[in-house]
Amino acid sequence: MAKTSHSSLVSRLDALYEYDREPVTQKDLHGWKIFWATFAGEHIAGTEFVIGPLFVLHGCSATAVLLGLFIGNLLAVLSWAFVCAPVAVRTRLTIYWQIRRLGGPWLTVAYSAVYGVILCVLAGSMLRVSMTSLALPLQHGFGTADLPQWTWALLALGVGSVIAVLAVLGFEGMAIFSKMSAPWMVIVFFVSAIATLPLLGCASLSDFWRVANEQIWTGVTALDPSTGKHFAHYTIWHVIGFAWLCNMPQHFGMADLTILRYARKWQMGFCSAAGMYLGHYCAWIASGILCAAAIKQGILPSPGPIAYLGAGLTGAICVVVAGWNVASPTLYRAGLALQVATPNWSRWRVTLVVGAAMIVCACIPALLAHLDLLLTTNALLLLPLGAFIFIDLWLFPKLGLRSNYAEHTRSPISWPAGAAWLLSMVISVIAFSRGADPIFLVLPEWIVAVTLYVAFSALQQKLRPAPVPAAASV
Amino acid sequence: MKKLLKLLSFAALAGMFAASWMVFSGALSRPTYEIVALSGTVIWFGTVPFWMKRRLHASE
Repeated sequence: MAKTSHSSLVSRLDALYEYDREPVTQKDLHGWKIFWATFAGEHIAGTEFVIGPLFVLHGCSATAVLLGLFIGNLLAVLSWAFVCAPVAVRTRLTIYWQIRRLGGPWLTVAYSAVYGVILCVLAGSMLRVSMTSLALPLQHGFGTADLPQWTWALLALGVGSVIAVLAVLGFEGMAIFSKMSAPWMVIVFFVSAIATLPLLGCASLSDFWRVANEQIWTGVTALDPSTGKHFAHYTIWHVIGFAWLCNMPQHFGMADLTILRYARKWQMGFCSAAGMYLGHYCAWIASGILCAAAIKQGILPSPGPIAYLGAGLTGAICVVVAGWNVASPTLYRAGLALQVATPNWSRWRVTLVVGAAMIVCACIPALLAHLDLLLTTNALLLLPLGAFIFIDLWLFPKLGLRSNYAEHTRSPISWPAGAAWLLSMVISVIAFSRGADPIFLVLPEWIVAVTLYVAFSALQQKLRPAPVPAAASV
Repeated sequence: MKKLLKLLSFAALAGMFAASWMVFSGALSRPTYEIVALSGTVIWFGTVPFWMKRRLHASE
């Protein structure tokens, strides 16, 4: 009975991703233009209104932000170009099928469940971003920025329900709208920051560096309203580390195999520079400027109010659009990932249940204040699997080990992958509980995961060699 | 017609950009800049559906 339900679970998950089972064919490959546009559009979202201010609140200096973001984003671009893209063009498979081949079907079930939960929380944070803008009329009505919790809950319920219904009914329409709004959002970020600089005493370009040091990134940490303590101080190393790890699940974690498998050449991984330098450089700097101006004006530095300060109603609309654009497809993908864990529920029912979880997450005020921690946790959870894909493809043949061992042996789960994933995360959790900054745990976790995976795989393949291959492994 | 609408879309964005620079240099008041930004937004979303391709990106 148990075996039947297990195989049914796996076959349902396989069926969900059936369309992407085969490697992308030559005729479906895309050129440079679409990758520039895809990356530029994907990395300008509601979170940019939150992350930029975090560097101000965490007391970064101007040099730490401007130089640290430049270096961190460069590392991210290089990771896409030299780690993710070469795997993508070599295998032409999604991350799902790549994990399936090396880790077996049960590892894909675990990956989907973890990924689904993460997406659910991220959708909640996007919803919260939109709510900060939609709460502006209420704040005017109540005459205070500090709205009672029940109003946030009502907002979350109202707006979240619309997003959930849109995710069920019109995911494609939302994706097209997202594509259309991307260039406008970039401009809104730019113009908001430029028009806000005079509020900080910056009257000319030659003033900028002085104002940046004295008014924006002053090196002084702000008070965290959710804990009553000051935010931790961030140095240039934190900024570099965060800019790099922010999209770790996409590049080192290999989630962007799904996009880059359509690339004609691995060099198209460099197109990620469009997203990094427009979204994670310019937009983060712009929102940092808005945050500093808001603090100076006595305005709460949350996305809605700072955008309203920057561009009036246009800024407020931008926050709503930026939040919705990401929340709806994120919710759709969360539903897809978690559909496997339900007793044959339809897509709409799963998406609505996931939507309810998103609404609950959006009611947590600390979600935005600690978005950096949330994104770091996301990276720590998903990073090891990307590391296994990379090592399995490039290092195993050089070590005389068989790639995609689980596929060759038809194992339901690769214990080396499962154990290395679990142990590397346990070690990170222990280090975190002993006071290690999670931003600096990402690279050590990658090294631990890889070392354990190689050692366990060598042991496994020595004890039980894989059968002679019927076809060449990719 | 499509070219004209495309031109109008980007002119709207350029107008928003120019208005922000004028605020920065003290040549335009903030309320006027906010009206220009909102007008640019309306023009962008009013014109872009007519010329931007509805085909989704590689991943979608």
